[in-house]
Amino acid sequence: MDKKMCDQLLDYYNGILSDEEKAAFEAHLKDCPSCQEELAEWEELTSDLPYLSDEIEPPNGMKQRILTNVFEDEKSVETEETNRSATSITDIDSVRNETPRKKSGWLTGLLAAGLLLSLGMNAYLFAENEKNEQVIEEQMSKTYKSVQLASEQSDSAGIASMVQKDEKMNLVVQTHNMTQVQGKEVYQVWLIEGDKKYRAGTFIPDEKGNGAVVFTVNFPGEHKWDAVAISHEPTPDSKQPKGTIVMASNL
Amino acid sequence: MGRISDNELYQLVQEENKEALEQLYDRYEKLLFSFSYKILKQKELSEEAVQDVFMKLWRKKGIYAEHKGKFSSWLLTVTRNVCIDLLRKQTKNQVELLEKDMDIERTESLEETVTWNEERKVLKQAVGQLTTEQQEIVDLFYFKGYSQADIADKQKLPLGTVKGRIRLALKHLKNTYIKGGGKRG
Repeated sequence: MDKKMCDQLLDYYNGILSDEEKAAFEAHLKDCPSCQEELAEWEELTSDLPYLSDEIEPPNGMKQRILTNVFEDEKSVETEETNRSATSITDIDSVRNETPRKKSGWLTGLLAAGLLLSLGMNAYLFAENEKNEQVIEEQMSKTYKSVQLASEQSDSAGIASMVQKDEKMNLVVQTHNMTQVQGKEVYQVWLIEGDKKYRAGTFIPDEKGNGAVVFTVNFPGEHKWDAVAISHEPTPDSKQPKGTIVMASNL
Repeated sequence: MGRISDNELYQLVQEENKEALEQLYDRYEKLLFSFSYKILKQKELSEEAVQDVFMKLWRKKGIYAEHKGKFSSWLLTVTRNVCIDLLRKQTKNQVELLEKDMDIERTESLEETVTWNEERKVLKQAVGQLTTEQQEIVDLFYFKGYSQADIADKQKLPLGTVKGRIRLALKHLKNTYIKGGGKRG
């Protein structure tokens, strides 16, 4: 038997082989009784290990979310938009408790993660930017900034752009692969300046997980936005983020 | 036992019976979620893993057949593969887990749900009988899905000896487990 092939068995078992290697190994496996036997042995030896896991209660609503997604048929794409006027609120507690230099802990970790993710997406982002600019030139709008949003926990992703049109600055956020919301839950977009978070649009994704917001940024005074974030909120009324941040990116 | 077997339920799933899938879901939700969490250490990702598994069950016709072994063992293998894939994607993106969910609730299970309290107790005792190196090697191999080369690297072992070491650790574990009265396997 091909000894080299046989040596790959464990890596095959752990799903490490590339597609070609995997196909080659599977072809080999068909004709190699000793590998077949050994594979069965590994399966046998490991069969109890899952039961080492501590019992953990699944999150609320998981069953409904999963079964809905599994049974989901192709349905029409509708983006429900519940855009609201923005309320600017200063998070008094966080200002009081934190030195001005320190970024709120709520965000730093996520931004770091978002940045790491976005490194791998630079090429894509570049292409997206180019596309955006072409469209926008025709509309006589100007894209100031466009950043990629990505989640470190799921396939959710999106793009946030600052677009100027008719003297007005608009924040355009498009997302896809968003996890469905339950009951009164919504996704809330935030513009962040230092420790302050400003509401910048609320949305509920459609059945396919697409969601978008166009938000006119007209908070009084001068602003230099540091970041944009999307959080999963228990209700549409959160004046400050209560839920978890699902995506964020520096502006 | 009067209760419908996993295999019978799976046959119904093949006929696109949604209730059957739901019943399988109820049976295995907790075990699959807990197992995913053991590998992924993160709730949202674990939910994604469980969803992937049920997607496969529902959409890929004939994915399971009796010659593939006991349904539950097969389901756990599929779950592990999904989790290790997710784990690998994560590491590729160099994303650190931001916060591990600390507030883990443990509650009593319903009757129709698979539980494994006894097995876990005996298994944990059996794991305690392994040397630290053996415990590490099992963790790297089974729960982290490392390649042989990476295990050799990490444990400072010659590549050629890795497989033997894992096998020895697993055999030892299995024997202690069976002696301790472990039921499954």
